[in-house]
Amino acid sequence: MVTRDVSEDLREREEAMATWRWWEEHYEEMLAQYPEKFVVIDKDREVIASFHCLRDLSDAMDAKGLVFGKDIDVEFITANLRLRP
Amino acid sequence: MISGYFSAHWGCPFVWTRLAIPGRPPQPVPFLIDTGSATSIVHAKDALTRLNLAMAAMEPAAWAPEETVRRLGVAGVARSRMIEASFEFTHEDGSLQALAETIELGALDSQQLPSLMGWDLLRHFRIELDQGTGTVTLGPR
Repeated sequence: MVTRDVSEDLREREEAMATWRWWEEHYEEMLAQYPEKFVVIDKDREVIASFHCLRDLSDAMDAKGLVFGKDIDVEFITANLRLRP
Repeated sequence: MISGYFSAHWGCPFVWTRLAIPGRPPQPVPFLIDTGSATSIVHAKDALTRLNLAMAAMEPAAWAPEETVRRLGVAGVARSRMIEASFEFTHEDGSLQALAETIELGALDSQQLPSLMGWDLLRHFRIELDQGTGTVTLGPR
């Protein structure tokens, strides 16, 4: 164990988890509109784009100068719960 | 103790940790707790959207043979790259548990999968999972 001020870590994690909870709460409506797609939301949690492929998503966000985690958040919306590595 | 949760959609336990890889600052990443996996793996979506890795980093053709592994899963064989990683687990009491492990980075074809936390990390904790009560905790051993 180490000790340092972790308040910023906790705030950052809480913020990320709050966004994650938002995805969970809106998953069904997202699934109806964007099945099997990567959906991009902005800081106001408005959907700004969706893509079938991560490479297309990356290219489009690069072109717009948007930064993952700072400006946008992404989730893959799927009905397939049997995804396996 | 570190608290996670059962995903309402996936029905699986998840926990968040801060993860750093060489050249990148630590970022919070969600991991599915995978008690059937020996090793942890960051899949492509999290590598791009949480760690801000370039897409080229997920191309097996660009990986050195000595850092490339063929990973046997229940659905077949997948390629991944071995990377050094530093994890920071923030406990509820504010203490910080740092762990360094060699984990795997999934190739681009793993883009639809959540990242997985296997026994290389889970062995450091006493795990409590109870979907009935929604309990997901990683406690000190």
